[in-house]
Amino acid sequence: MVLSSLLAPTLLGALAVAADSAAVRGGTVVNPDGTRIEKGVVVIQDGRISAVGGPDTPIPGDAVVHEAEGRVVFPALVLAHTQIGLDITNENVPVAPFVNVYDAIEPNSAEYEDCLRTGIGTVHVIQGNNTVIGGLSRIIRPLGDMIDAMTVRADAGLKVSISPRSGFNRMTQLAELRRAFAELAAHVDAVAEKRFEEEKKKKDEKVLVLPDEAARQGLALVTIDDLDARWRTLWRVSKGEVPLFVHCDRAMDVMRGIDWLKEMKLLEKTTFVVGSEAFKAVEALKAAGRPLVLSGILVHRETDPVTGEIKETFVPKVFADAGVPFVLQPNGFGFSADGMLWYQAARCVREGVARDVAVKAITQSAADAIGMGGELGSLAAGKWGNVAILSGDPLDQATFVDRMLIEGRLAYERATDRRLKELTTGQESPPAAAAKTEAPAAPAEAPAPAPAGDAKPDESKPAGDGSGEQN
Amino acid sequence: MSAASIAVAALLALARTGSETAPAVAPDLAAWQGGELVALQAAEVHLGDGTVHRPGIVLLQDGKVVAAGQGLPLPAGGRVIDCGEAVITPGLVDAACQLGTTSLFGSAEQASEVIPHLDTADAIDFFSRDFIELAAGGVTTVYVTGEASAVISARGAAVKTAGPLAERRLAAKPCVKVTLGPESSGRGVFNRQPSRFGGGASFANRRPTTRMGAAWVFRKAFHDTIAWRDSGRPSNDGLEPAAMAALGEVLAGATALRMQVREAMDFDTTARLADEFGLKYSIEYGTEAAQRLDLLARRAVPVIFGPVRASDSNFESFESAAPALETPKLLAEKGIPFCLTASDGSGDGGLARQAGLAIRFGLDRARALRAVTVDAAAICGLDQRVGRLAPGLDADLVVWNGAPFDDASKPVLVLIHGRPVVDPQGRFRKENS
Amino acid sequence: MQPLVHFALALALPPGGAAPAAASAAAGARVAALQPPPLALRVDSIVQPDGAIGPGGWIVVRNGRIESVGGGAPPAGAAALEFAGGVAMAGFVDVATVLGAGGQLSEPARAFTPEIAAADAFDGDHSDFLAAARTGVTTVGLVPGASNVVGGRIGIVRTSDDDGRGAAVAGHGPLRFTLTEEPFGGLRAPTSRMGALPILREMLANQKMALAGSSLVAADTADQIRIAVETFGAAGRPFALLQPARIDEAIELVTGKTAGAVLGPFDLDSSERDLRVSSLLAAAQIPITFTANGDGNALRLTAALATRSGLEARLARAALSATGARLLGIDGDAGTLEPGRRGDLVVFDGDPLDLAAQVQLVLVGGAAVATEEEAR
Repeated sequence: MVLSSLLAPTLLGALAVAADSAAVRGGTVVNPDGTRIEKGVVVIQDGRISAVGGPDTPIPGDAVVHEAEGRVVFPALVLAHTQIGLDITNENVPVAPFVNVYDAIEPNSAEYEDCLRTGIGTVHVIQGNNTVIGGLSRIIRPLGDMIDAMTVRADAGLKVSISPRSGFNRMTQLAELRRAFAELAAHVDAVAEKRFEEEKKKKDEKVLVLPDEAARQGLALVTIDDLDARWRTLWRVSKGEVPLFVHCDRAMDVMRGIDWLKEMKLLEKTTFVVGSEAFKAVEALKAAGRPLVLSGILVHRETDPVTGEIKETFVPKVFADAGVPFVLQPNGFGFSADGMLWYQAARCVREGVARDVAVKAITQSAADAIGMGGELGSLAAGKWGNVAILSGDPLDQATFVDRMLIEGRLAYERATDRRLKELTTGQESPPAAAAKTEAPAAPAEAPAPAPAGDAKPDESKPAGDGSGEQN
Repeated sequence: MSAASIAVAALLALARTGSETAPAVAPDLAAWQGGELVALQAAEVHLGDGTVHRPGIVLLQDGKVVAAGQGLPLPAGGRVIDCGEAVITPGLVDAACQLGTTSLFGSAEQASEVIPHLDTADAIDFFSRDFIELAAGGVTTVYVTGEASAVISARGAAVKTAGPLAERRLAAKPCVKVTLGPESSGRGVFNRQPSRFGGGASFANRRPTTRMGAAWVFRKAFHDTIAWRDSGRPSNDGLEPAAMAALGEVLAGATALRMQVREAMDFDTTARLADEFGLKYSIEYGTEAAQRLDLLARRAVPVIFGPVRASDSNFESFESAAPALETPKLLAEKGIPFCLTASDGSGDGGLARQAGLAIRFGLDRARALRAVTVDAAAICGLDQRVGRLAPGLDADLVVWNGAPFDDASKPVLVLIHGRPVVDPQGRFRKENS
Repeated sequence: MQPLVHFALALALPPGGAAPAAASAAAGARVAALQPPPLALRVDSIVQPDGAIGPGGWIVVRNGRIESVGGGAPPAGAAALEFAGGVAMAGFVDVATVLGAGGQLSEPARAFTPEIAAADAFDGDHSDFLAAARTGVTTVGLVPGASNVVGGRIGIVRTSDDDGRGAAVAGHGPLRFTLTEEPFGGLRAPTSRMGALPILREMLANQKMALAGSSLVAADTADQIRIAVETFGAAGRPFALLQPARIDEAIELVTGKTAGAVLGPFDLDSSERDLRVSSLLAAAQIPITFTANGDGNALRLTAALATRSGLEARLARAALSATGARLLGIDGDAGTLEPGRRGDLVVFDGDPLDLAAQVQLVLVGGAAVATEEEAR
């Protein structure tokens, strides 16, 4: 497992070598900050954007040109926190840093297909919130049949929950969390002491210090391979090598979480994943200054115990008013309705959040939250060539994703989206119209075609039901 | 413009930012309740029949629309509400609402499969929060449809979603609902699981448990009714005279018939049964209508279509059928009379969202508006009361802070009988309930 | 003070005491023939019929009835008891209890059982009644049918008989109805409010049911209260509401339409919203009374909590006895300390709303209720 995940970047590198260039021409290039270029040009070379400009921007002669006349050219969206593609979102062991979503991701999940259809170019797959310490996560492109080829970044993060997992109370939760790190420290000490003694033995020296001192001096000698496999991930976490996604369901958990992260000196490595009530800790979250992923449920409801009146708070508005950037998640997942990130952003605008803030929440802020703000989230030279060509304004409900480019390669085309026709008209199109693929490399494989015959769209989904875990 | 002119535009702008700190300068909207003539001006006024005035004016008095159009004389000395860039539409009408009843299953009468003599109005909780949510979403009239767990269910009831209790009920043409799909057998079984004495429901203590059984219950009830009507013979199946009297009204055409149909095959069964008894009917929900467009067009059967949901799972029916998303567009193209329903959805799953999804999937905007206003009212026989902004009709209207049904728009002011029930801050005015 | 009083009581009321049993006319006549000496109680304060605490004086009880209230001196030959610091009020009336029946007052076979009378399930020897009497409750309603739309007639029960041991039926009260969801969901028709209301309307319109006084209608939510107002209003039937928790949402609807409301029990876990209902109803001039299944201490706690949440103390005291008697239709006979009323009274050593106040003496029909100590 470890070997494969180490290999993954190498494979990617190999794929990227297949030099190719592409350009999107003639559309209105729109960026999350609101800037627009009419009849703009986006040039992508070797998967990276080399130029964004007006109609006069030079296009390399060998570039595959995608005409976007009358279309809106927009950065592909980033899904910063999701369990799509995982059949079971959490282990039933509370502390499981030794697992890796690498082993669980189902590349053929219908949700990945829906990602392309709804403009999502990058997906961070991480375990759910019903845990104390979850496993390693992975950033992928929702495209391809093999997880290694889909991988954008392995070991992208690790889930820690401050809020109690099912069956725990808050005290147990924190106690388990502390105990895990204490056990790690004890294990590392034991290994360090052993390594110190081995080192001395090698040099034929006598061990003349107390065990504590031996452990202290031996620490520098410890490598990850010396550790028990169960503790390796957590050791990397404790050294700040793996970003944390810290779930705080309620405002009270935010306070506990920040305290604990400061104590562990891990606050700077943290992205917060918060529940709807956590808006009450807006000031603390603002002071922490870390990325913030909101729950898909945007409205927090509370019943006044005295009057029985239900008070509703539109959560993103609270953070927007406080000037705290946030990331949106879809409410559920799917093509038709609330499962779309666009819809969540449009709801924010409806409730008075500034448009650029709402749009960044599904692009730039989302990229920032997974540590890829420099690569994703907007159309700019140097960034990755993940481009959504839209039929209209990003937040207009009648807008469709017309085409998707991922790292410069055509990954989706509405005109050949067979399943879309099934979803919209209830009629199946003949297999001959199956999604078109553009040749160059493996990741550009079109989504798995729908099974033939009389299957209904939903029946082609994997059998797993998520077992009702919290996500 | 008169001295009483109120710049709602500024308030609408505030509402758009949704600021909690918006000053409490909401115009004394409650003062509108009198017999005073009020004019609302807006950048766009949709009358509901397809006509749009840009800009437009609506004149209201005593809870009714006096006039709506362009360049109307403003009331001298009366109140003029300038809604600025906002858009006014008629209040929305949901023709097959399942909200507002006393409880999910508590409203279902399980004692008989044939209960057309009962009135869904008796199951409505007028204080239900459902109505607040509906009103906040711009829905001003709902036809609460019969519960699906009886084969021949109760009459539906038309109600306003807010306002004084005395004004909440509307007289609609009586309409009995029939469910042949598995909701009357499948859901019925679920529903009838005896809660107190253990044991499950079975063929021994209820029927039907299949589609065939449901069709049998339907046939038998109408046969018994005809025999009772023609020769006074009582039902040997225990049908109450009151139930047979109600079915007699259906046979005579005095009471409308509505068939809840989701799966394609049930469209066929419904047509067959209706022909056997010479019945006219409308279709409720019509989930798989896209697969029976020709049948529906040939018979000109009105379809109350919806809802389209984010999730494929369909709790109501235990059936996985998800509607084809372009169904409204296809119905319109085929010339089939139809309207949209959100069923038990409100808020982000409400009727405005259904209209928005219909637009997303190809229905033109004007037709989408009709499908949630005048066409819905017409299918319920309520179009002389609600559904349009026309003289003499109820002053039920919605002021939107952008294009109606856009994902980024919402109702900022909702009037029912000329009374504001949602104010420009988007908050529900409780004192009107 | 306690031992002294009981000492005096022992002197004044020889064993087999002479108070009358008012349960039947025959018994009343028999007792009257015995011509027992009147009983005179001296207290510092007397709770007036309107619930206000008025000046004290002598209260004279003769032949099981109150002869005079507030006199300056006891009549000659009376057995006299003096309660320094004592506050006397009419015995508590709890209109909605299931005392002595273990809750078995519903007939499950049918949803409409107007012919049922809770008094038929009455067990006069049950210890519940004595326990109730000792806490100051002198009259209770036995209410049938929480799970029936029409449950049957309420039994009116005096918590203590002349020998201070058993309880006695004093008559049949009004019918009890249930408009909550409780009657539905079982294996019988109808299973819904929608199915039940047409039947109920027909029954009310056809005068099928004997309806003494105000029907007692259980309704919880605002909408159930609306149904009560509409259904009973259309039939011209007076009604009182039983435990209408969400009546605060329907105050305008019921004002002037209902004979009263039975609230409680409240305890320290009750929500402020629930506690406020009492004062809201009082402000709307809707009579209120409390229920706590016949436990006088719980009734006082209920009343005290309602007072803390805004109910005028005077109305809280009236709610403990006078209003309940009115709703049961026995207000000419019980519920207030006035000459001619039954000798149902309770003496506390302070304001009954003060939870520290202790019961000093309970008379039911003029007979003293034995304390636990005495009973041993």
